[in-house]
Amino acid sequence: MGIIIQARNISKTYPKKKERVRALQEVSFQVKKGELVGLLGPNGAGKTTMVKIIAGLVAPDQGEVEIAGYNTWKERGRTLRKLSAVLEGNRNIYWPLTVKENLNFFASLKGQPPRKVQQRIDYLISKLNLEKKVNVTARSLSRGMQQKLALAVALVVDVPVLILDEPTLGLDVESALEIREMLQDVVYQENKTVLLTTHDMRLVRAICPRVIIINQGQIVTDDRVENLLRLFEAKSYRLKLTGHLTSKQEEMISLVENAIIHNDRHNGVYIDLHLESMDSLYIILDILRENNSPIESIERQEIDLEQVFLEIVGRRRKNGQPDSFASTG
Amino acid sequence: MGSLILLQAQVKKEFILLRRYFFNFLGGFATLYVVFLLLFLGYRGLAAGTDMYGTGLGNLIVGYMLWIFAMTIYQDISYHLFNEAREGILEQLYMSPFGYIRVTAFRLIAGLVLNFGMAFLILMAMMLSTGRYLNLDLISLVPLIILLLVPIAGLGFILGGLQILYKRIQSILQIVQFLLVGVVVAPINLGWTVFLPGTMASHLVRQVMVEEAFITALPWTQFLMALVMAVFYLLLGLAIFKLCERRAMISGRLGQF
Repeated sequence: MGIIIQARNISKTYPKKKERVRALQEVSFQVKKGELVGLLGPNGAGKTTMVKIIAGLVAPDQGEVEIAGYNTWKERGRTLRKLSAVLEGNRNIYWPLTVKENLNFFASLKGQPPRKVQQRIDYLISKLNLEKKVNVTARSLSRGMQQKLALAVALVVDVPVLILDEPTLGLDVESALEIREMLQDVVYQENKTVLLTTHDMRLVRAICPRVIIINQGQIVTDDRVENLLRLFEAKSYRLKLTGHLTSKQEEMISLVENAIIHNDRHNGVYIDLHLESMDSLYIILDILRENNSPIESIERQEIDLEQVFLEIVGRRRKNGQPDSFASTG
Repeated sequence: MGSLILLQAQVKKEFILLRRYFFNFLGGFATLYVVFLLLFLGYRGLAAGTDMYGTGLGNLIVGYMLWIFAMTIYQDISYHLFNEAREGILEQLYMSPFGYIRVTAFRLIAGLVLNFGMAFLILMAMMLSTGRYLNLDLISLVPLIILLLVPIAGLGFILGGLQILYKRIQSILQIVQFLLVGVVVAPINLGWTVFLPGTMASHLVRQVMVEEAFITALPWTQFLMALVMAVFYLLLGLAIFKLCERRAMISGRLGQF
């Protein structure tokens, strides 16, 4: 598969009063044709700036983005024939126009006569369950319907790249599921490339094979989701004890990095440990040995993407530097 | 071909919106007509019986019609841009491969048909109400009205660009809207007024409608001046708009309102 999105050394700062706030710092990544990539990060990490730079709506201070070989800043017209985007959720549509009128209008806005994309419009309306709302103005639709219409508008013409900023934000479960299915179809049946930003880890887990995590304007991780889960699973343990800890032991364990003591009335005492190195485990075993506290079991912990995300972002915040395991995927 | 598709889409959208919000259109028409009646009554009270009454009334009607033209084209750029940004649609329009300026220009052309319709209806109503019938020689009038609207569109692009960059400038937009009255009614014998956007074209329209001159009888220097001012203000407007747009993209403020 060839590279379709290429971001090279993107840096961006915004003026704020007399200072400049850094939004992105030397961000580089590639997305291959037909990939579905999640761009994750906490609020203010630089995700929206990144997608707007890709869409040619924000100029980078440094670096460049190419879509299908065209520079988004220098060859805007050509780039915009290769990509669609939903950047403002349910606000990317004309509210006084109906569902059908919106789809017709935005097809024309991309240079396609509505009659030429009629089949596509019918397909999108049916796929996103908008049949009963075809002649209803966007203003009168529910938020979920509006968001689905915004997605349909982005998909109405055949472009190879789709950029989505928070596509399921504020949606009910059913609408989020429909959008999720639609995105999977777009990638796996239509062979389009999708880059989406989201905070919805269930969405990422369900459809994104690869994630790029941005924090404080830098890429801290770029890897396949399964690799990240495996990596963190191998590092996360739960030590279950049969007795109780002394207050001195509790105090000493609480000083060990990434160790959390749980005192559960039903399950007894257990310690969750995320290992940076094996040293932490040996320190805790030494502390437990002092009072001969019996260990019932040591289990490798199940870990979900949300925990992985929090670990990565949290660690980046502590260190102020990218993680050592950051890699290009 | 692509441009034609875009133009068709804009015309269709404008007609859909007109049909859907027809009572708004009627309300706008009624308001403008009532304002004219008040102006007319005031004028009649002041000038009735004087030698200049007929010519002055003709100029009042033409000036009011041209102000409606100028105001609608100006609002079509500046207020539309504000609404598009507020509703979140602006960035989508910017993502059209045609570019925002062409998208807006085609919307203006599409809207022009409606503006002509509205202005024609009001003109008819004004002539019927006052009994002052003016020369409606379309061969002479259409190019002159275009020469009036093009520099006003340039002014709209200047204000639109400033709005993209500085956002909250609605009060300035409103002030300029009323300054347009001065622009369309200013006499050209002051000298400097010929450099205002659309003033010379507006003078020529009055020559056709009130003095019943045919376009070929107009002084070619005045026609040329109207043309030069139209091109100058349009290019100035587009240049300032592009500059503001670029700065808004650099500062990341394009779609924010």
